Amino acid sequence: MLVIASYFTTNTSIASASDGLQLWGIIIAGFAAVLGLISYTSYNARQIAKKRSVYAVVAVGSALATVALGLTLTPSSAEYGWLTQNILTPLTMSVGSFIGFFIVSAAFRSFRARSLEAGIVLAAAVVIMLKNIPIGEYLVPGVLPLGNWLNDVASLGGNRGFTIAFAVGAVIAGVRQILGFERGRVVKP
Amino acid sequence: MIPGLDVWVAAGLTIAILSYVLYRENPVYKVAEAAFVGISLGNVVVMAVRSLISSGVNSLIGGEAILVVPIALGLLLFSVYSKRLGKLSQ
Amino acid sequence: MSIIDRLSRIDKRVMYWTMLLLIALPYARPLGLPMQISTYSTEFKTTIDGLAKGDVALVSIDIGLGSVSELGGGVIALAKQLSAEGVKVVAVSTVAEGPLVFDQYFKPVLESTGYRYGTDYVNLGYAAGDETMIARIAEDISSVYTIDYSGNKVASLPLMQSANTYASYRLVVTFDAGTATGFYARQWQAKYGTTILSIPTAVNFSYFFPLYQAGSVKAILNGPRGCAEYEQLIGAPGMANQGIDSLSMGQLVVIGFMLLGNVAFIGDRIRRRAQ
Repeated sequence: MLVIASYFTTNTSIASASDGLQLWGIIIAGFAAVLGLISYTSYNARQIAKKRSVYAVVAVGSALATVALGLTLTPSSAEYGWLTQNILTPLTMSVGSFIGFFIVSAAFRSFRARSLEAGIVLAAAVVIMLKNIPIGEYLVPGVLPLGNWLNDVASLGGNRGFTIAFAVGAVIAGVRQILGFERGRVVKP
Repeated sequence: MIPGLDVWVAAGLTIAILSYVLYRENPVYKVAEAAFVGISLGNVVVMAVRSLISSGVNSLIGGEAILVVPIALGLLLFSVYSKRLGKLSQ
Repeated sequence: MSIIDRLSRIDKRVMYWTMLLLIALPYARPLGLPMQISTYSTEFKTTIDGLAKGDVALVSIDIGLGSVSELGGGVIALAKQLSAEGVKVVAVSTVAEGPLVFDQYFKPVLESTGYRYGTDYVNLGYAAGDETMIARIAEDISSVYTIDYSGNKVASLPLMQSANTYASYRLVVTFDAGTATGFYARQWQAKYGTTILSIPTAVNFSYFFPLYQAGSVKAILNGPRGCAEYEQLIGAPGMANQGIDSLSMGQLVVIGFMLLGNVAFIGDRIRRRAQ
């Protein structure tokens, strides 16, 4: 309530309290990441103890080694930089490339024009894809103005609706949380 | 350091990961995937701990005693592992 | 087995190898197709042209290493334009891999033009908290960052002594893979009127476009294509332009297999009706 109030008043006490609370939120969020590491390590340690997975050794070992390196030296050190540039970066980019591959097989198996609406979605998707690549302008003249219209007019209306609905939903969820109606995480006495 | 080692390591890891889509799931891919998950998580924790030190611990040492409260609240998150104190994590 | 049946049963590894080979082809033989520059990219470049030497820009790297293939060219191009204009840079990040992206792609460009750390640019690194963090740094950066990414005390850095609040920053540029543009639009632009520029990934472009249309975001680049256009506008085609040919081939593969799948589907339907 204090943080919300600070947006609507110039009272310095409220502003100061709100600033403090925001800083508290940042500090607590930092602990959550460490909690994630502990959960992950304990899960994999159980896997290792039950001899279910050799790969768990690699996972936990690399996590702990990275943490040890990053905290004893700084992340801007040459050693940490070598680790991130030559190991983490190629791994991350390669795993990210899976999306492209899976989209190809998904496009082949699932993007079927089963009805008029599905056909419209398909056509719009093809237009937008062609609009975003230089070769599209040469293969299909006129795809650029059509694609821009789809983006600037048709899609914009839908996105505005989503944004407003999402914001209203977030406000309602926040009010319910503040008033205590959302008790999913609270253990009943 | 072996010259060009970084290129070999990067190329080898890339091929290890891509072997999953281009061939099939195999032990080399699984090792690379485990390393990816571990190093990513390790990096997140390093950054989070440094963020904690930067915004919490250093300010606390600098005289802002009130920050004991969020640090204590953050430490209470770990009580989820205790059967007796688990409720405090909420 | 009929052609329709063969089409329906294409092994996915054939698709994956086709994708890989066609994406790799432009690296051996670039297509080099010229492309029309959109008004969005021109507006983006023009906004940065309006900065004066000595102005300070907040660069928020909110993408991970996986998004570098999309926006890496934009990261390098922005560094080139800002350093050419003599604009000082303070970098922050709401994602854990953001500082790594800055170190690997942005910083080398700045240092090659003679920028000095602490005076001309600072990398503050990652801070937890997402929108809360962004709201907080607008009021007082030093309360969130007491040390920078390299472990130096922020108070000891000459640039940070005069760049602690929103008032010191002429604009904010955010590389966005998810939500940061909205955060800055709400916490910096709506509250203080700071100019926000956004470089989202392609899938997020339409999501943030309403913010651009409403004026909350001054200029926006359209993912990898926008980065390639931006590179051409500043006269330094690089990573994004190299990648745009591969992107073209990749999209064509997707469209090709999509159409092939529909041919198989429609052919099968016609065959069933005939039976």
